[in-house]
Amino acid sequence: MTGLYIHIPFCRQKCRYCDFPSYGGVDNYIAPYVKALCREIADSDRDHPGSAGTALDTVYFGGGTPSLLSLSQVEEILTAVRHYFAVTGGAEITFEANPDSLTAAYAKGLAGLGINRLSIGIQSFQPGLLRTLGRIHTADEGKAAIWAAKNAGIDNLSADLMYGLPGQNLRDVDADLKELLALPLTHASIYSLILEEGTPFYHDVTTGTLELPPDDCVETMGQAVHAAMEVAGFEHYEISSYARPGNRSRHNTKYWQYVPYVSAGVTAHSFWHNCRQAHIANIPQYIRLAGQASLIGERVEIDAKRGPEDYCFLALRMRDGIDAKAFKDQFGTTVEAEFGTVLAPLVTQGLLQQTRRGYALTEKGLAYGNYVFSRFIR
Amino acid sequence: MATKYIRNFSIIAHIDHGKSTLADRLLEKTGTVSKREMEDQLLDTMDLERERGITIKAQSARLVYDAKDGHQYILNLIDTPGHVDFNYEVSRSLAACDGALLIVDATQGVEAQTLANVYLALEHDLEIIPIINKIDLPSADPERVRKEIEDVIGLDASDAIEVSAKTGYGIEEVLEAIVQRIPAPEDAADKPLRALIFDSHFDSYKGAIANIRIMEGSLKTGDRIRMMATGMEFEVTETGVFIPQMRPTGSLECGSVGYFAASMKNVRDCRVGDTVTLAENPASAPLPGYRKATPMVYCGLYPVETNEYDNLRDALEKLHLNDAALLFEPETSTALGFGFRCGFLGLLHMDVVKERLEREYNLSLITTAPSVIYHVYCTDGTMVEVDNPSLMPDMTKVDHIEEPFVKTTIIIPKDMVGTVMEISQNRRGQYLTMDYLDETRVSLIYDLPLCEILYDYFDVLKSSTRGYASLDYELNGYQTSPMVKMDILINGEVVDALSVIVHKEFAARRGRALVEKLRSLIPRQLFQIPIQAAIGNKIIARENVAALRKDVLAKCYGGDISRKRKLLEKQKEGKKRMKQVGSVEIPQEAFMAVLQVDDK
Repeated sequence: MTGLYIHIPFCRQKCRYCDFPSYGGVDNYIAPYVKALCREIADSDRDHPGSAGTALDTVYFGGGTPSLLSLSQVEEILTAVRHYFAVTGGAEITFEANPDSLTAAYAKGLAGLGINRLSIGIQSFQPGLLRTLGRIHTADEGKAAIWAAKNAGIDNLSADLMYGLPGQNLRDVDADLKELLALPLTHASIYSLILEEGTPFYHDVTTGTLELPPDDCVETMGQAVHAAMEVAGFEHYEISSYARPGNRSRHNTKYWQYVPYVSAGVTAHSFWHNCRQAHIANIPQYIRLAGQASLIGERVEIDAKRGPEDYCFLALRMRDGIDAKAFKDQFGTTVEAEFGTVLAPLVTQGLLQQTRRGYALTEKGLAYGNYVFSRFIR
Repeated sequence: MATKYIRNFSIIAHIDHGKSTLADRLLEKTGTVSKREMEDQLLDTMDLERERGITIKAQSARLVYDAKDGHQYILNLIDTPGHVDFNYEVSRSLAACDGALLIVDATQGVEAQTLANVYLALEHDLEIIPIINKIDLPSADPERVRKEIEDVIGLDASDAIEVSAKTGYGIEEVLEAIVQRIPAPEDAADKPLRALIFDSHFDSYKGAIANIRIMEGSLKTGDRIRMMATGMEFEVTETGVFIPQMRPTGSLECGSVGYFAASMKNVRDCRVGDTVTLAENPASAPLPGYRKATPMVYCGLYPVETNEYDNLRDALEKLHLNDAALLFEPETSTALGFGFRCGFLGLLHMDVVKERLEREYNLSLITTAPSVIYHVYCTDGTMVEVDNPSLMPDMTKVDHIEEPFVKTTIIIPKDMVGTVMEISQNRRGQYLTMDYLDETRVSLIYDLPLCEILYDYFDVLKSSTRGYASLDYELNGYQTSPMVKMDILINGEVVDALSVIVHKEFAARRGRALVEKLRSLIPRQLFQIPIQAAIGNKIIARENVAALRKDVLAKCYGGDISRKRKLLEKQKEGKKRMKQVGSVEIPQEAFMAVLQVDDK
């Protein structure tokens, strides 16, 4: 079934490592942007032909910081979604929130609107690291936000955590994990810092103001994360995602399983009718055009060559890996016929293993994921 | 038609001086080809030739011209290949002519190939008509060029014709000059047949087609002929002329230029330079000058996918049908598997064959670095010819090694003499002579090891003279040199396809540069890979390809698959054409790396 992603490109303040489309200090655009989102949703057939009225079993508010929206704005968007699509009963409706804007009242409000899953941007519990990252919340606020959500009756809770941060050592990671595991979470996204060009972080690291921990140290941190999460009963089901049994992110899983999803909002991506599309990035332009004209900035049709490649590298992000039968159903040919010469050496090298359902990364393969994935790009 | 109304000529020029354009204008002016049929540079028929602006296979055309004297003349234009690699073919084409048009670019003047070709033409006693082309260009300086032709070549240029092949200016004058100044062929119709094969090509219906000039006697369809060099006999199934397509005529008279077909299976049955005579009334001696085309440059060609070996063999056989100079024989490399050692006339010939194999036959190939033929004298008194470094005998059994040298003519502006001398000396060149062509340009002659020319001489020369240098060379015998075989070990194992033969004194430097280059070319793998250069058992250079870094784990934001994919594509880039050698994957470029190292 189809998923819907809604992008909220506003933040109170941009984090120092972030190169994602989000903007601080443009709050005056929020209200017209929400209206524009609703217009796009009402006009979804324009850029996603045939999507109007389609059944959605996942909706995902991502950002940016969706929790900067007022509850009435969230309601306005959800009303449009429910009006123009068919949101199924039991649909997973996720909302990304930052601790500084996730108060008890706000959490209750979200729950009342039918939001049943929150993804909370914790990143760290160490005050020094939070400052370095440019986060505006404190460690206590982070914990409080999660409890507030829990107390509001939202049980499906995910937190983001980062490691490999400047000045961070293994003890900090252990401490963060301990704090994290003491919280009532069903899911966590734990990933290492990636230095992106053009960010203040990139500048600081290249000029020597900031120093990242050495590679082997980051590797050890990653291992500590895997071990701790596993012991705590979380399943490492995707490269950077952990879930308690039954609590995988159903929406994100669509990305990795080649399932179509539609989207709304600036820079939002979709996969619809065999096309990968990205929305335009300019907020005023988006507001002007929504409901009147196409909002797609880039569209790539997935051909017979790229399709199977995408399928494989996405599927392998999940520990379940490539499902041979699903692959055949999708492309009409076996994964061996398409990628025999790719699979065999990877298996020999101990990076891939043959499983009952197909092929999956080994523990070793997990550490060299990008190398393995790149093999599938022909 | 009587021989007195026939003229056989060719056009000689340095590359880019406008030979093909002039040929096109002559064809157009005589109505041989109508404007409508006219493609640019009609005589260069291969795509590759058109792309590179060079002629590889010579073409011929028969022009019918009504001269001002009221008579109709047959002008046979014999086009010549325009590159030093095809010198022998040029000389055979010239041998079929009685005169030549010498084109010199009015903006550039005499260049190295102009000289080389003029000397070839003079060797054949050809009447040479100097033509100064491109006079429509603002920078044209016909007076300077006229003087240069006189000073440098020693030809009387007072009646040199000024033309613009591009605009058509002066073309009529050229046609008149061909009639008036180039001698008619000798009338020897009553002698036994002697016809010179100056080119050949393969036609899938008619078999090999020989392009010939009838020097004595005549030839008609149905005649039984004999090739005087090989002794092979055939029955002529078709005779005809080029208009410029083949048109059957039934016979070819003395002095004329045309073709014949005789159910010959491939072009080696009608070798360029051979003399055709009649089996029943043979000539007593062949025409002078025949020699077998001998490759100067060798390299290994291997399919990237081992199962393409048969396709590669078929493709080489097909090319061979049409290219008598291309040699190939199967060879095996422990690193690359089954492939072929191929011999070429020169680097351009090698590039052309490689490109045709890839383009026309859709093959993905790995090429090893080109090598010359070394004469290796062993201590037991025997001599072996080594064209593949990995087959070099054990150095303890080698007495001495001789390598081919080439006499190299370099023409450059005089202020670049110092640079070129340095480049040549650094590559073991021996200075022979230097001549001033005029106040600004100099001709330098060096004796250079051919392997240095293959290595990087050409590229360095071109870049350090900003493209001003023009170059020509010819084989100039073998000389003893202290050469050694340098092996490359990857992950502790000798990769035979990477072995090279180098001068002893250059070995350490070149070894270091080569392993460094290989380190940059071989992608990181799951383990560290040592790359070593060794002479015998002695390691002279070492580098390591560090192991692949483990990934940092990244989140996939908001379904943005394209961004992830772009990263993967970047990682994948340049990793096509990898060859698994032992446990290491080596990219195609690595095998040519020896040519790209900068060790100076």
